[in-house]
Amino acid sequence: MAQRRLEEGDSSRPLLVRESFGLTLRRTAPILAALAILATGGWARAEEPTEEPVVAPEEPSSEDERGAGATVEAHASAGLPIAARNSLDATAAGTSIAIEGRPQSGETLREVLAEAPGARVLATGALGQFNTITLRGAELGQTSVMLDDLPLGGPDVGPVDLSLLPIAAFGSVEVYRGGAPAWISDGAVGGVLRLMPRSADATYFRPHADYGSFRTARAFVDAGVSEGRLRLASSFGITTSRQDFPFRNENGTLYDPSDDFTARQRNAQFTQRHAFTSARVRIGRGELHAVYLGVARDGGYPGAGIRRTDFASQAVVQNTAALSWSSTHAIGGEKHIRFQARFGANTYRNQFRDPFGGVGLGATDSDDRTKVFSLRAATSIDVTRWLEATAVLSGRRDGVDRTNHVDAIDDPPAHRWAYGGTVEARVHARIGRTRFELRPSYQIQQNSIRASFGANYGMLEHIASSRTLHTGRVGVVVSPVEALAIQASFYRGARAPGLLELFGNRSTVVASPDVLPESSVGGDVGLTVRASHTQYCFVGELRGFAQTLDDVIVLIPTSQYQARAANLPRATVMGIESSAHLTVGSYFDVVMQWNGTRTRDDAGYQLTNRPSSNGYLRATGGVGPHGHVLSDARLYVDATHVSRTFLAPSELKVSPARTFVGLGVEMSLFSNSLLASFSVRDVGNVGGTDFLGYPLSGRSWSGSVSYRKEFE
Amino acid sequence: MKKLVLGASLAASLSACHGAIEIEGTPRGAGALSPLSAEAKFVVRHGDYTSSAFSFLDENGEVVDDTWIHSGSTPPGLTALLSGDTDVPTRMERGVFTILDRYGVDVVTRIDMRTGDVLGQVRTQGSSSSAFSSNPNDVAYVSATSAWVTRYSHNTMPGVDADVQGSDLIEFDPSTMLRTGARVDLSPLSVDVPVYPVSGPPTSKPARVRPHNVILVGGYMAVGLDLLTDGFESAAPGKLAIVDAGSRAVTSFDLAPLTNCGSLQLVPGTTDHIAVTCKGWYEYPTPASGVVVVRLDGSTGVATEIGRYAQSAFPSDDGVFDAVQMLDDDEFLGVHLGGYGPTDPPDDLVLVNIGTGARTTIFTSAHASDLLVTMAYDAATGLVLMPDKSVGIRRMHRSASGAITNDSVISLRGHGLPAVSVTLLP
Repeated sequence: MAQRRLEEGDSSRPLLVRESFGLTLRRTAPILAALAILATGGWARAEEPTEEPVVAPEEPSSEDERGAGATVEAHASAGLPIAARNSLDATAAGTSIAIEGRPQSGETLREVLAEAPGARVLATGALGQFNTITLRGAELGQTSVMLDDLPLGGPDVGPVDLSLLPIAAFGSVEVYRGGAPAWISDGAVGGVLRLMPRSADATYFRPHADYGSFRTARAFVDAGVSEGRLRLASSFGITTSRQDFPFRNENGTLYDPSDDFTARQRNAQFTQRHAFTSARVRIGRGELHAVYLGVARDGGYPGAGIRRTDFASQAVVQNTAALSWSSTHAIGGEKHIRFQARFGANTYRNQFRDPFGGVGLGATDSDDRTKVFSLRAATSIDVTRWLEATAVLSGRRDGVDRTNHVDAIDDPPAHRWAYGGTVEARVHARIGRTRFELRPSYQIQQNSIRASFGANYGMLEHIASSRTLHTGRVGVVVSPVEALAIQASFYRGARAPGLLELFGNRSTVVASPDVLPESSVGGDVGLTVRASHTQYCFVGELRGFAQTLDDVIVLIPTSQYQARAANLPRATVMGIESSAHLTVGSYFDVVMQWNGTRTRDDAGYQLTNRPSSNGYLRATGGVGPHGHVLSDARLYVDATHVSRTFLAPSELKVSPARTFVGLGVEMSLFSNSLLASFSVRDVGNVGGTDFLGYPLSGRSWSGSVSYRKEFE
Repeated sequence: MKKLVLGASLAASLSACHGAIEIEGTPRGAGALSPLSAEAKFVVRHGDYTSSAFSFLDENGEVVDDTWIHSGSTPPGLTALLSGDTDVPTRMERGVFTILDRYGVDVVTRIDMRTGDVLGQVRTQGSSSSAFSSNPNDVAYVSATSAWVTRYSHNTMPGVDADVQGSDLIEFDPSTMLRTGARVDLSPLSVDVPVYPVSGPPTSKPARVRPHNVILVGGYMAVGLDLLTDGFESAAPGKLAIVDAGSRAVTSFDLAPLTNCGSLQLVPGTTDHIAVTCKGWYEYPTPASGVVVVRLDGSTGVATEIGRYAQSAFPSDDGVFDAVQMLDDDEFLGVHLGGYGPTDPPDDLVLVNIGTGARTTIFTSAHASDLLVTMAYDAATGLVLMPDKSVGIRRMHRSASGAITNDSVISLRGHGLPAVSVTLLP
């Protein structure tokens, strides 16, 4: 366990190597090295190799031998990477979180991301309702969400609904705060959430089922093929839930408790399906990678606060696909040139029906379709042994076709184009035992939008605008010893308002066509510590950051339980973020993160939905390898704390501090082929509401069983 | 308890002195707020569409209490204490502060200003499976045990109980803060109007009755009606509903061709002259907007038009008056709104003579929508208070000759929320 933990949560350049092919370095060293270089900039070539492995696995399992063994050997030949917690850029404030091996039953991305420092997931209610991520106090939509390097949302198309994304499709998540590495950055103010598609490390078949509170049931099947040049991973599943949990209703009269009552949530039921496939085929010096993720959800829409409706419903279908080609060519000596070309497509369909205007301000029967097509070409070349140059060109077209069968007027289709380029230099060197790396990058992006929408009940308002956004980043890392790296970066982010902010979603977000672009300037400085021994492994990070946000676009709740986008003149955000991961043998594992954030608007008030502190802690204890029948048993307890939060500007509407405690147990049986787990969330039944006044479910439980069958 | 009884007695005696309603009943939120530090003559509402706060001023416009109550005065539950869509009645009881929490919350709250006790809260509807919000817009206090609330919304779900129907007046007992079950249905005053889509022939849709303000004159309630289609595409000619507070019989007074005529105010210095502000509708705002002054006989319920300013009669008038404050039967202050966006022209405060149409610009704001507010005028002192989002609350005086002078600015913190309305207290 120690071995696996370190690789997935630590410097994951080796992880990237492993995930690319999953073969041992002996057989595939050139290709592995090339891909590592392609993805990360080839840090190792200019540096002296070291003979030190990251950690020697004590008793490697079969899985360890396949994946981790390759990592150790890669380290031995290429040198231990600069301590970092992400796969792309040691100068970046990025944290990688493994999804495999977590003990919780019925887990969602929302819970995984609780481990990421500087991250906070905002939700509009309980399971099956919209939720999305904010980073370092930035607003919704200021974070780009990517499936590998394909944008799912972010500056152009608004915040991504994380509740739609099945955790079974991903092997790990990476959270980059502030300026992100040029390879994946699109200039987002908050940063980047990168979802790494699950990769096949063997040929296997794994059915999984879980069941829990409020008639929540989930079943999916994972399968993988690892044969020759092919690595194929797939997942298909379904989730259904009633979500009829109880909650306290004050009937709108907070000064009069005599009419309070306990209600049961209605019309929150949903059914969600997903299909995922990632296929990698090695052809010559390159690799063809095709990935597809499709999700569909339909269900009721319960309404917020004291206004609840039995008649509103929503059906969402989202398809994401990408096809990419990567190759590497030697250009003399140890120098290489790398190419990548990628085509991506996203479609999103949102059918929302609210016949009596219970959720919005009027009756709605809409069918909105979004289509996004994107192209990207990137190259990276070793100019010298100490200088690498990267260039990325990208373009995308977003189209939104909105239809409301209730309106006398249909809004004409809206279009948005964005194209631009990024250049980055990577200077890396070693002086004695001290290693340095400097990464300046610059990005220019042209955004054009043309849209019309109904306004003033009978007229059409037309919008056509074109904006050029300049963003950039300078990152530096100094590693005086292998256990320590000191990072700093300075960045500028910008984004034009997204389609969601401009046009709303007909339900929770209303249209705000006058929203202006926002920009930010910020920086951070911090350190990453890594230490390992045969019996333990520790990796931690501590970082301070500060940034100013101009014309920041915020979603402000309205009195109608909706949110609208608006610009704030200037806001400042500063804080401290930290995370740590300690593993002691196969017996004890602790994960924690804590953020302290100070946010202020131009009037000196704390920004909405930014708690001054939040943290997460999970401690897991296990019996370790324990025989064939009971292979392992683990018990965990976790706690999530969110400090007092203001839900409205001017520090009004205070949500009190809340701490959610969960606990559970996981048993591995029959040489880890059968896993059974049971979890209880929000043991104290804290519940409460989200930022729009939708009630949360309070205490819940979940139990799951999965079986993994491997084939030689 | 002693404090409570004393407070109630004091309030009751003061109310009786002014011929207003006596305060009775047991406060449900005793001591919820601090007593007002002095007697107030004006209440200021602060809001940003998300939160609300209320401050109080004395008869000279001096600050009595800055932010006496606000959305965060108590921790929120499913709702905040006050949403961003709040208002106060056109006319209040003396010593009792009434808050209308409108769309989405649907609660009337009464607070004793001298003690800070919350006298009670009443929700203006029952539960609705369609998430219907009745949207209470105004309250008329008829007696110590009878108050009527206008419910602006209309439930489009067919076959629902009257309790969640809307387009009506419902009664509650201020002494118990419970609804009596009595209701005056105004929906029969709905009419069909044509709706013009961008392409294709017009269709006919019902313009629903949406009662906004209500003013009690003698034994009759005058109710201003917006008549709008469910999709807000079109408006019907305005009407004033006249409701017999005893028999609950309803008659109507035609305001055609003006539309969107829900806003009412009692003309200062009178007891039975009601000014109706008709804002027109989006498609054809100017021809259908104006101000009508009506005399309502409080004993017979007969309404008579005694003055009208129709913008269509004065082609040089290039905009709708968004905020109107009557000064007397002949003159009013109105705001010509420049627009809503940062690049739109600023607003003008204009003094208008109803009979001649003569207009005098009092001042121009710094930005568009600065004067998208409600102002107040005290005829006894000539004091005019008008929120200006860029500067604070403008304090103006109307002299005996009728001239308006711009005196000074009152600064209120308002918990960071801009002042958006000032209302004269009894």
